Amino acid sequence: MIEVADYSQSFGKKEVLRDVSFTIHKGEIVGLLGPSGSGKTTLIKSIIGMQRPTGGTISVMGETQPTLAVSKSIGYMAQADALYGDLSARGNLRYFGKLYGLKKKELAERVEEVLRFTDLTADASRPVHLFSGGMKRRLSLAIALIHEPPLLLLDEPTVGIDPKLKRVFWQEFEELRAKGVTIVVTTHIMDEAERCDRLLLIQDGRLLDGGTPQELKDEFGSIEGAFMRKEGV
Amino acid sequence: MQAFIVAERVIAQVVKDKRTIGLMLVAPLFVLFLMYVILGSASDEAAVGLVEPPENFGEVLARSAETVEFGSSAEAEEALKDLEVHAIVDFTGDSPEILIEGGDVSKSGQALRVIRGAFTEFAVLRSTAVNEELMAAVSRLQERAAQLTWEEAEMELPEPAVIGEPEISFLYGGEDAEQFDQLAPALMGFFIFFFVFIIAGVSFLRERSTGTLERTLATPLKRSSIVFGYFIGFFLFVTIQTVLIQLFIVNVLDVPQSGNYFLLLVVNLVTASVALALGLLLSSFARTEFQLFQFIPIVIVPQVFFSGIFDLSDAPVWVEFISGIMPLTYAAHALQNIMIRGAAFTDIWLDAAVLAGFVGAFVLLNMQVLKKQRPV
Repeated sequence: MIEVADYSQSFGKKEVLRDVSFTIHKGEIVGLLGPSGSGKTTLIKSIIGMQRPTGGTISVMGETQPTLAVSKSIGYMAQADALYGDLSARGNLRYFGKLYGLKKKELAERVEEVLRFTDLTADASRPVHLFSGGMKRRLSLAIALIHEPPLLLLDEPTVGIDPKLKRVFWQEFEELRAKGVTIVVTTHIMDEAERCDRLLLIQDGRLLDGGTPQELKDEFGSIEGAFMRKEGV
Repeated sequence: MQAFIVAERVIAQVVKDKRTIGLMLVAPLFVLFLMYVILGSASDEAAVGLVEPPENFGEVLARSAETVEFGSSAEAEEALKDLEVHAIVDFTGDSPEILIEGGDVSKSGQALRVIRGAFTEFAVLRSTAVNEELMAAVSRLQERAAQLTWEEAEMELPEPAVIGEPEISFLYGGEDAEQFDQLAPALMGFFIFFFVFIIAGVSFLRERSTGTLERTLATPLKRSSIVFGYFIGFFLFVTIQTVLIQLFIVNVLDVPQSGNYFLLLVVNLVTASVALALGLLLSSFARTEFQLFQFIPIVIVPQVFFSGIFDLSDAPVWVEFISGIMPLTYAAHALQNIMIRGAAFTDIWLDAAVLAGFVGAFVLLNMQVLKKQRPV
């Protein structure tokens, strides 16, 4: 699904990521784990194709990024809620749905379906600026799902939402995985990390280690331990 | 087609925001109305005091200025100091003396102009009278000579040198054309430029800061479709704006309109495109709305001076150069020519072409800036 090979990214003189290589297979939930500022968001943006790698290559579904060819297959949820506050939830969904090329009937069906999936049907006609933080996160997820993408890139999807909603999100991710959707999710929360199939540890722009949560725990005692050990604390 | 999706959203956003709609559609009418009232209420009639004027002079002057007759020079000077009159013409000396107030520059200039005019007209009147007297004297002499010699005196008489009253007509407009009539088309161009710049600039800046621009670029949408979507969306509002302003200034403010409405709309749409492309471009150099507004004194205010509101025919070369790089110079020129002189497309195509050139340049720059957000 995703092949990252010797990928480096710098902005001006500042190098954000260096020599990152990994592969993500279809139908797994992969967690990108690392502290703030470690380069997780930069990595996600490069996988979408929002920037050109300064070194190495990234390919998604066989296409080398950046290209518009695979944009249709990727669902993206940004760290900040990128929503049009003046428009209603339905208005936002329709706009992005159309941009992904959904046609009338299909669009109307998908909009209602993702609204139901994220439990927003009752508030669908209200302008988004009246929404609570959790509702906005749910709508952002709904937008990421609108065109039924086989690949989901979620940048800190559960930041700022309550534990109950967090559990609902993860149940939804697991439902999607069951349908064969590949999910890449960034996080720095350990209990979320444990629900991933595989973890990639990122620190200071380097890929430290990777493996299933169990493997990392076996090797380092705990997932936190993996970071500590690698840092040499 | 993708551009229409963006356009639909831009329109929906503006329509949902009542203030923005009001700002675009009502504010220009209000300011135009204020301008109309203010420019119409300025009186250009000067008052002139006269001391011992010769016969007829007072009547001649009264045709173009208010006149007040005074018994003595001292009395007249007192009135001048109290600003009851703006100038005095004093005939008590050997030759007439003119005293101008000078504090109120426009009224003083106007007084001097009408006094000079009155003197010229008075001189013509006098010479006509002298001419007639001379001719009468010559005829009397001829008769006397004929009696003396019993023979008619042979004499060629010249035609009396009298200049008739000139006939005045206007190529464009008419005698009752007001200053506002000349300003109205230029002001329309300015308002469209200003409001589109502000609203489009702020909308795009918000898209940048809330992340919706990035989110939109993460879809299969082409970069150019975003920019063109904004164009299409704003064209709708500029068309409504043009129709409203035209209806208002022609029907309510009574501004003469001798041009083609469709051509006016075309020029307004091109002007709006320049403002839109410039607004989008400058919004990428601003982090906050406040920073965007800081561009107004640099980008918008100087354009007012070059938009045909002030006469620049005597300006130095460097001012002419600045005027040449201001889009509103061309917009105002074209709009004035269409509305006042009834210009056709063949008369204004050069202005339209320069404006289109600005649009092209700004759009290309916008694409370059957006490339930073999405390389393909």
